[in-house]
Amino acid sequence: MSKIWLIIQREYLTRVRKKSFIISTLLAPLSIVFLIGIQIWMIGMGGTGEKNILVKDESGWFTTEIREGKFRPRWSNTESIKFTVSHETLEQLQAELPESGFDAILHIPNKSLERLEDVPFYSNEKLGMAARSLIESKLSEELRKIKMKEKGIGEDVLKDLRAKISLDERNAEGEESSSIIASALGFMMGFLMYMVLIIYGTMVMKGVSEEKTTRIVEVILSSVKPFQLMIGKIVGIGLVGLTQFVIWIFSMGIIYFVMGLIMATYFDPSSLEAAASAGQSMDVEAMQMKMQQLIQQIESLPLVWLAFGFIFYFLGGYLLYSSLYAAVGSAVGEDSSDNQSLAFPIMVPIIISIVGLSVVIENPDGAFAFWMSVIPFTSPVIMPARMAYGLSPFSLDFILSAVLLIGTFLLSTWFAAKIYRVGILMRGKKASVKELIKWLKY
Amino acid sequence: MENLLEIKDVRKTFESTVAVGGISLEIPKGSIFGLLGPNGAGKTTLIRMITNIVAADSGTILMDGVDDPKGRMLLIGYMPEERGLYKKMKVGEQLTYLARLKGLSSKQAKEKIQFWLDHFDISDWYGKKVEELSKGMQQKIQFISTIIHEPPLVILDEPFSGLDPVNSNLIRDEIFRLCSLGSTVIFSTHRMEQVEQICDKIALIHKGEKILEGDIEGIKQQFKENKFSITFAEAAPSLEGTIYKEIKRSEKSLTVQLQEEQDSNELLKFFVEKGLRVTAFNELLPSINEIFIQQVGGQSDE
Repeated sequence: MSKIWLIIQREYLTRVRKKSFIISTLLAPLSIVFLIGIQIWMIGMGGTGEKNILVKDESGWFTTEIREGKFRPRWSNTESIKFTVSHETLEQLQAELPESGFDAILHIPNKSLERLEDVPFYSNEKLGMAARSLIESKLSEELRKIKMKEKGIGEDVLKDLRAKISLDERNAEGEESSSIIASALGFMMGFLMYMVLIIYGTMVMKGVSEEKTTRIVEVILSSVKPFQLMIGKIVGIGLVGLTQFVIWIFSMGIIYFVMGLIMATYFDPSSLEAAASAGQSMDVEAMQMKMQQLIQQIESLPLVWLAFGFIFYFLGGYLLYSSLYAAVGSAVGEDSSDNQSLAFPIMVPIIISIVGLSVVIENPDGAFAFWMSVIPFTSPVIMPARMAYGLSPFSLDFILSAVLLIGTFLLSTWFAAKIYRVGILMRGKKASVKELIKWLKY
Repeated sequence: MENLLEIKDVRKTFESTVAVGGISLEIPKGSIFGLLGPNGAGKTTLIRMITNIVAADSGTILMDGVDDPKGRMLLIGYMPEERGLYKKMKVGEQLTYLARLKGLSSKQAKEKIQFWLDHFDISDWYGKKVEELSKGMQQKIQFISTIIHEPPLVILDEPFSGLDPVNSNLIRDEIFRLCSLGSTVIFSTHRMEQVEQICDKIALIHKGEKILEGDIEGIKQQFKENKFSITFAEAAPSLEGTIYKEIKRSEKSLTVQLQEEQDSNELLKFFVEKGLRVTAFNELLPSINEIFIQQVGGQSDE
């Protein structure tokens, strides 16, 4: 046992101290923070900024509003657009634009309300997406108000007419659940599992074949049994994976907290009030609501149970696949094309799982989902996704799946050990699946 | 002499190939034992059974009178033919790891590593990665890793293959040193030139079978062909028409092969009585190499 422990230590420490591990472990969450930060920064900076726009209002519908300063769309405290009415001719305005200090000219032609669709807009620079949609939505909103007035519909009537239904999903016990969050999380967990199974499985395979090709293995095997070496390697690398997860989960927690802070500052109440006073409360409030709902939904998920499930299926799936990868690693020699052709059959079920994942997310309680989450070769990817949909830990599906997974990895480890023990010392023989089966009988 | 290792009728078959087909050996304590044989003779498989890397299909291997494969592993220092180290690991870490796998505590390992690095005058390699070292340097590290736990039995599989003369001599001297400190050394080789200078006892293995076993002198005596070389002060005489058979001649010397009933004293007398001045008279014993080639018929499996 103490020898296995020594092997685990070596496998773990040599990998954890590698620069590539430190970089990938720390950089992954940092890059997420960075990307989100960049995005927020870009929304802030790359938006409209302060834009001054001249309005040549031939229709006269917007003139009063603009004069009274009510025509001022804004969306955050950093972005706003200021409109000014001008009575000069369009040609004059166009000619004067470069020196006028204004950014653009909005020309509202004198057409009937029904026919007003395209509004000419002149500027020296291209209008950004944000500014464009801001102006478009403001114009549409104002136009709608005018149309309503014409048809004799009051503002209050419109408020009454507004209908928006969103499904408030609950499970049988009446607890809230959300399929959007669940499917996003389910997909994320499944995809992450798919990645780690391949990454860490390949790491085991490489480690084993490296020991074989550098010939160190025979030295080690004069001290320990092949099974001890194989298990030590698998466990050591598995712990590397767990370390990475723990660091990621912690940093995700920190990111979540920091993001919350940023959001709170970004959508601070004072800016909300300012927005409300400018008549733009609707969007911001709706957004605020959405955010809160999102947070509530995330918090309503059984996070501990999901974390447990993820780690359980990681361990089970990892032990299952890495033992097979170890067997392949032991069977192949220096020739890495051999490596790939033998590793391919192992990849197939993992790839099937990730393809099946999207089907399962569509229908997490169907027969397909059931089988995919019970068969041990696909369950590590599929079951965590189903768990995100609220599958109970006491359900038959989960228990069956867990038992089968444990049983299969015990079996695959036994099977791999038999191949490993022969393959690791075999030289010069071309490894084929047929050959591997022969080794089982040695 | 007491035997450290007694191998009794061990067999190992891979599929239909008999790698080792019932070999028995006795290896005396404190001896240097040479395991000879052409490539593919089964030396490595036999060694792997001794080191418990592979299990024998049948037969027993007793070390100090007990058959304990697991316990034996700690008492053996093994350097395989295909040598290797973790390339990315530092020398010190690597040696510590290998020593601890052999049951040393980390403190003991540290002391031993220090001792051996000093012994070879390479203390400054401690923090270097193996891949930074030259091949010859790596071989020194490999050798240290083999004997770091001071095992009573050291097994070296083809220790001289791929070594330059300097390292070759170094390993040879270390083998003698280990032996003088009480270790028993088994080494396998298919090159015979070192065997005669180094080994006390040898066994010749061919196609999984032991062909002969014994101490070098005894084997040579067993295979001697009654050849004598005689050197003269003047031109060598012709033996035509005499009872002696000449097999080789040069200007001043002759090689004569005696028949069963002929006596070497008679041969010498024959020349002396002819009035020839004999300056040297030697019995020619076959070299191990000749015996080896004679026994395996000059063919090897590879």
